Amino acid sequence: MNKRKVIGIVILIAGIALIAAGVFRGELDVILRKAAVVCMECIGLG
Amino acid sequence: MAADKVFKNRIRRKLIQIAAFGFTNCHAGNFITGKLYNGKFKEFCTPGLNCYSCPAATVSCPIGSLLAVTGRADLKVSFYVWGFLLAIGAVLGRAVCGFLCPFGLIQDLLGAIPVHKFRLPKILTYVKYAVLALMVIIIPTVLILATGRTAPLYCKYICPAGMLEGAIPLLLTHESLRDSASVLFWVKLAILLAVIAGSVFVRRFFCKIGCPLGAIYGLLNKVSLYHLTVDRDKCIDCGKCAGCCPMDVDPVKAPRSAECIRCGACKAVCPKGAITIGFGSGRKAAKREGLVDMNVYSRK
Ligand code: SF4
Ligand code: SF4
Ligand code: SF4
Repeated sequence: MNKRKVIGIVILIAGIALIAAGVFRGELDVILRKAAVVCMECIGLG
Repeated sequence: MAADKVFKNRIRRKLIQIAAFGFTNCHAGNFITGKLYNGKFKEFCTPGLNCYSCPAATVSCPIGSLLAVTGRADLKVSFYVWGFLLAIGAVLGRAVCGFLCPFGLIQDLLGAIPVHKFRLPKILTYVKYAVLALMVIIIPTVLILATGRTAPLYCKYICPAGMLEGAIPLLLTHESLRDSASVLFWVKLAILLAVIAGSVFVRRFFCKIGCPLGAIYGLLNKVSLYHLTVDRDKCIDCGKCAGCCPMDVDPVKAPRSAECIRCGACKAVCPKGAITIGFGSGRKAAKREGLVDMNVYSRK
């Protein structure tokens, strides 16, 4: 198999593993809390 | 025939871009009320640049989300968002920029204004890597490790998408927010106006110089499963592909260029059908013909 393809697949698998780890740590909730209300700092007002 | 292919490619891409824009921002009614959508979908990231403080936004911006998690002293690094960006980038590379990013579509529309287009010096395309390294990774991480606090630096000081999609609509609907507009607001407004003007005269101006997401996906273009290949046996070196590329790429010389957004314009214009974009179809075609297993096939 093409070397680039192998690297691409390895990165894809690592990415999926990281997503699972992030979900397990509760990061989705952190993101939802930040994104559901107006974040003054995020839009350069705070 | 070539004109027909170019037209079909343009329409197909525009329809996908509009669909992606619509899905990412399907709460347009919130522009009137000034409220933000706060349902479950906001837990998930969109692959492109789209401010989560935009009233219409359905999903979250990956850069904002990354910085939100980095800013938590108990988390410090976002496994979820890095994993998402790596997975999407490994599959699609910068095809995200060509097809799925709302801010990319906005720049395409500005670029459609019929004025002379300028090319940027290549060195400016490296600025986005500095933005990624400093404003998204290094400074926020050092601050959170050293002081236990950090701000979403890229969003706060640079992001023109946040200004256009978040700050301006919210200021228009919330009188109280107008009092908070400090010097920083005017600086960011100036950045946005520069990006708008730049996008009229330089195609994909912000994608080329300033977007940290473009930097990440650009690096992953080197190995992404969705990729561009050129059959050197068919290519007659006419240069039409390089001449039409909105990102100033010569796909014959650099089919894996970090700048290529896989828009397909070069493929549509090629008179010899030498360019393939897809998940390995170029390789399959080369194998069929017994060519070497390389990104640019050549028996010359
Ligand atoms: S470079 Fe950034 S703004 Fe441009 S299309 Fe890609 S993600 Fe969107
Ligand atoms: S347009 Fe086609 S034939 Fe012409 S240089 Fe590009 S790949 Fe080669
Ligand atoms: S090289 Fe081709 S696919 Fe890539 S950005 Fe240029 S025209 Fe689009």
